[in-house]
Amino acid sequence: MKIYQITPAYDFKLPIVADIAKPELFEEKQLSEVLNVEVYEGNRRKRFGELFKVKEAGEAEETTLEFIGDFSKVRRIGRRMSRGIIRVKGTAGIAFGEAMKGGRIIIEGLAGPWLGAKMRGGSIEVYGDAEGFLGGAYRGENIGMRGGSIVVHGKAGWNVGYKMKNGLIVVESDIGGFPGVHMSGGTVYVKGGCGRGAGAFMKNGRIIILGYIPSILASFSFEEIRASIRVEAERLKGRFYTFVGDLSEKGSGRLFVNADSNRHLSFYEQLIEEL
Amino acid sequence: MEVFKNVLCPFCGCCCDDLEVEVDSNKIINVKNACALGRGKFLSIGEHRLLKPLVKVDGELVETDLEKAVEKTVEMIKNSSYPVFYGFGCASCEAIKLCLEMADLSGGLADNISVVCHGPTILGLQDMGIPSATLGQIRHRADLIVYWGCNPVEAHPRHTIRYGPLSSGRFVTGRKSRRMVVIDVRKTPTATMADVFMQVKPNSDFEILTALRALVNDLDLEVEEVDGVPVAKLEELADMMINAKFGALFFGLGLTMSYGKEHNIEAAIALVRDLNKKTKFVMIPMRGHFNVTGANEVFTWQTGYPFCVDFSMGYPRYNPGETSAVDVIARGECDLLFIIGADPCSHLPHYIVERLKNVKLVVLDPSITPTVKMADVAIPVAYVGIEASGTAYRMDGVPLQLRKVVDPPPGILSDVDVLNRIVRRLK
Repeated sequence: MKIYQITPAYDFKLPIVADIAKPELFEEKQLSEVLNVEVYEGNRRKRFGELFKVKEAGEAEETTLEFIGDFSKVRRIGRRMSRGIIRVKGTAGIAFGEAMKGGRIIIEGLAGPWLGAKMRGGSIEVYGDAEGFLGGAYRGENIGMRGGSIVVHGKAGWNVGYKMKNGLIVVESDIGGFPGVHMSGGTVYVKGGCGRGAGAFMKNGRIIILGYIPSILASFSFEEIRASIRVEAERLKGRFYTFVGDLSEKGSGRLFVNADSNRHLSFYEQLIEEL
Repeated sequence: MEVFKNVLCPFCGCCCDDLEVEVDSNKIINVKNACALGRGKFLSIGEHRLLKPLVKVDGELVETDLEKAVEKTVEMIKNSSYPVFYGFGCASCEAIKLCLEMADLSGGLADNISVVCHGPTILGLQDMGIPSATLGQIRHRADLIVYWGCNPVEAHPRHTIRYGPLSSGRFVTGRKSRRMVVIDVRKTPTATMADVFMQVKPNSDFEILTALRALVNDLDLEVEEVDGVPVAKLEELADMMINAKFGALFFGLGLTMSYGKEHNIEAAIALVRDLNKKTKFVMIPMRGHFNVTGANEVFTWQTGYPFCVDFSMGYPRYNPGETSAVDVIARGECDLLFIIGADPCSHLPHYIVERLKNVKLVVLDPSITPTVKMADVAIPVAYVGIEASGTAYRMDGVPLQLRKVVDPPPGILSDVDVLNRIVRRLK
């Protein structure tokens, strides 16, 4: 299988929708055909080759697309991809890897909002920060991420795991507010802190916050203090306040909060004594 | 002197339709029944008036004729690779429909000013639905009125009198038979009228709503206060809501634009939905401009989406955040901004206005606004609802007829007429 290096032909100012850019396209078509595929820049139809410079750069086990440069204006790269590898050395735009089913995406830089939106399988790894709606659904849609995994080694924005149904999201630093809002399954694991509103409207699934969380919603009920939690193959040890919710939605999701990082929540321990 | 009765006020979302306008020699000399805001608009239409089309030549705005201004506008739209059509809060539904046609023909993006006010309301109701009613129903039946994050005494001055706690309805009459609750971050003039005023910390609305909802659902709270508000006070409010025969929740930008945004609205909708298991409760957003609700209605019936509609790929696409005008401008992605019924240079954040220097700007406006001063083409239009007729939607979604009471200055057409000329040439 081949490695293709793709670079912007010029500095983009207008939004570009390049949802056809995925490994399957390069496997199924000759490079000359790929360069003639139409994509939109603003409201103008352009050839792929007009917007991007593409060159072959060796062999690999799987078809690999290397996007090098600033692709922040380019949307929906890797949409519905099912195999192969996409590597970004630079900035990834909105909805990168939307609804992907398999394969791998590696982003060495910043990722835009809706990274891995409605994802069903495969894996995404970001060596940088990601914006909001990580693994989320679009507005008005019912289900976000359904499977696969997303690992962000930096920070992430608001609404991580918005309407998530299955899969795993790991963020190694802080995230914004409302993680796991409307979540119905899967795991959001945050090694840093988060904003307010964690687990709002959640029906099922797990949210793990190792860092600071400002408050727990009143519709969550304190359950117990756990000594460990398992996330995939990893076993996290420590003291974790465990909450169940969102009870107003008749939900049974679990919110695990590291006790050591959240001494302001220690009053919940009195509930254990009362029980 | 001619007296026009039952004139609709083209100022705020209340769209009061009982105004009496006295006109003498094509000049408005008095307006009865209007609030200070509405009366001010009727009586000041001659001030700061844009009377001639303007086109920018060598950095200076120079007067031109309408045909040349329209021609220049059409040329700019045709040459644009990503035009944005924005505004519509103060335009008639007929004008909005034409602008959507322009956006469709030119492969542009159309968005209305709800993106910076009640956009989160729309996002919330798309997820949850909205238990609503007309303002008439509330006037005649509501015995509990809750204002959350809004200050109608100053922003919608006749709301409390026509539809709110001071109104006299068929089944519930007068202030004494209604209870009024205000929830806000500070004691506003509206709060001084209230039976119960609950002062909350800024950005704590979601937590308070969630706690209220839990109490309405008979859940025990494990805390003694929620963001500084004692649970006992929340229980009192929850009981008041449950015991109301007909409750109405009005909410404003204090809820839509504070921390949580659309999630605040979802929580408010969920609260009202849960209250309806025990009593009758409805909610209505306090819309600002007189036809911003109409903009959402026209957008929805024309495209399927209420705002943030992108036609660049030949069909309507919708993803607020990606296809919202403010975000597109902030990211510097558009090359032409067509504005009607709005003044973004006065209302949008400074860093976004800075971006407007880099895009071509076409403005249709009756008066000389800061946006007009930045424009490449500015075309004067008549004041809708005063100098031109049309349709507007009240904040509760009821369509009403805007009336013409005076003629516009010579040579000035309605926005519909100007847009028709542009659309004809675009075709």
